[in-house]
Amino acid sequence: MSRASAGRTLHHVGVLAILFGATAVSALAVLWAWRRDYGLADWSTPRFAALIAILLASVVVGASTALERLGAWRAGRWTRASGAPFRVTFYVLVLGAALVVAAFQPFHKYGLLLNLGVQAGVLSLSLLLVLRRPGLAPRGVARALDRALLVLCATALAVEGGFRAAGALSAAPIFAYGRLRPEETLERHRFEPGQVFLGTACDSRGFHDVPCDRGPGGRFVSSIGDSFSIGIVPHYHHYTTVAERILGDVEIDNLGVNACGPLEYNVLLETQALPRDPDLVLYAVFVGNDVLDAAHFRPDHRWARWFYDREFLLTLRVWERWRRLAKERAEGNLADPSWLDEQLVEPAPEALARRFPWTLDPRLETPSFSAEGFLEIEAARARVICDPESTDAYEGFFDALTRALEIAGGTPLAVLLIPDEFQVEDALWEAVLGHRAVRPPIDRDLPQQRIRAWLEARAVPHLDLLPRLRAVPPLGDGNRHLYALRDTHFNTRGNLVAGENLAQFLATLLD
Amino acid sequence: MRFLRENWIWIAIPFALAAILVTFLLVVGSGSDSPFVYNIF
Repeated sequence: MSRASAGRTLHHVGVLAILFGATAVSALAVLWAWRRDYGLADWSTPRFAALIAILLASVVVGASTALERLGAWRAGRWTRASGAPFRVTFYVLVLGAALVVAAFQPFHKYGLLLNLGVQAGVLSLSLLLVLRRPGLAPRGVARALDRALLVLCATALAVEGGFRAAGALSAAPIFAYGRLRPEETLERHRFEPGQVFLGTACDSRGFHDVPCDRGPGGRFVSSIGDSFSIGIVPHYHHYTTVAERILGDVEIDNLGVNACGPLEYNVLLETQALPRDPDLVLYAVFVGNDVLDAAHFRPDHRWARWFYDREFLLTLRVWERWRRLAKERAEGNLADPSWLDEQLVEPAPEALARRFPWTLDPRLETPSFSAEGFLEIEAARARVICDPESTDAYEGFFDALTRALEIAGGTPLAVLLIPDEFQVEDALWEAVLGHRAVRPPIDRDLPQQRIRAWLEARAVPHLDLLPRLRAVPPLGDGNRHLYALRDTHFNTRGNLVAGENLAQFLATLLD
Repeated sequence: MRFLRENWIWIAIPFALAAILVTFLLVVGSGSDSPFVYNIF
């Protein structure tokens, strides 16, 4: 067989594979549609009939084109090969994926299948038109359209592919995938062992804690949480350290990783906490984002989501991140280089205050986010977790808590409920209520009410910090100043209140 | 193949621009300003 003949055979086999594949997808979509699942039961009869007709037409066009080409090949009438069918397939795939992520979200496997069934019909029809004149180069308008589609689709593929490659090969937050496995999230956000953060070296596992172990006759607690467990105060002022100082004979192993939620906590529980045989596991829930974080990772249909779920699309996400980053930078927020300064600081209030003056005086705090950016964060949380209609949002969270209790087994597990700032500071709550993204009625006490009811029904000991923090008298400006300025995390004052109450709580549980 | 010979530049340019864009973002906009930057992401 000559090289040209082999190339032609390869071309014909490829084109037929695409046509038969498209026909199969359309046929599968007909079968699924016929079940009238995925909301199709609510469609009117004419609308449903139109969908079935389009899908059946897709099957007919695909199958007839494939069979006609097969016959032509056998009869020796299909003699020319060209790249046009493959380019058309590329265009339909890329534009089809763009259409799905733009107009058919949230992702649903049935919805996607029906969509792909129609797209397969479009592909078959396009190939039918292209294959009528095989081997002829497009001219005029067709040539311009061909080139425009090539540039458009290649750009989309190159940008999205480039961003995803950067996300896989680097730890740059701007390229972080929206949906990671819990293990991947932990790997990406955990500090480096020995990394100095706010004057203290992280331990050998990358946690913002000094090495600790059960002392002779002492008690040992594993505390699991997110950025609240890391804190934005020096280790000395963190609420777990405060509780340790008050209790004296209790060591708290503080296992905190940024950007984590209950799914990641369960991995930490299994891999880091339980192997150290603690007397108690403290599961620190930050109400503000843990309910939402628990819903993040969806293991089903991961490959399809990779291409057709907007949550996975990085092109738009990176643009939005860049816009927010530029805005925060322009206002001089985000970066306080002293936090990551490699210089160790003596763990004493005076020494820490010399290096980080804001630790003892909230008036010296500088904002982490712009006023608008901070309010957006708070409003985005409140509108979901405080919405009486949002019971679905809590499903993943309670599933994760159930799993935590199963993993803990015979080891006692207690829950620490950390409120969001808008639940504690009245002025911020008023601002949240006035934000364009929030639609009243919303109830700022609702998250704790729901979570406490769930925990009480299962006799899980818990400490709700919300009433303790609200009991702190406001300062002169009317705010309690328990959270760092426009940051979302506790400052030294907030950590102190949390630590004192945690000490009382642990004393009760460990006695 | 003829199409590719005539149009390779229209394929290469998007990939080159994407590579430049990724490099630019990695250098000046990676978001490593703060360990808590994910809050606005």
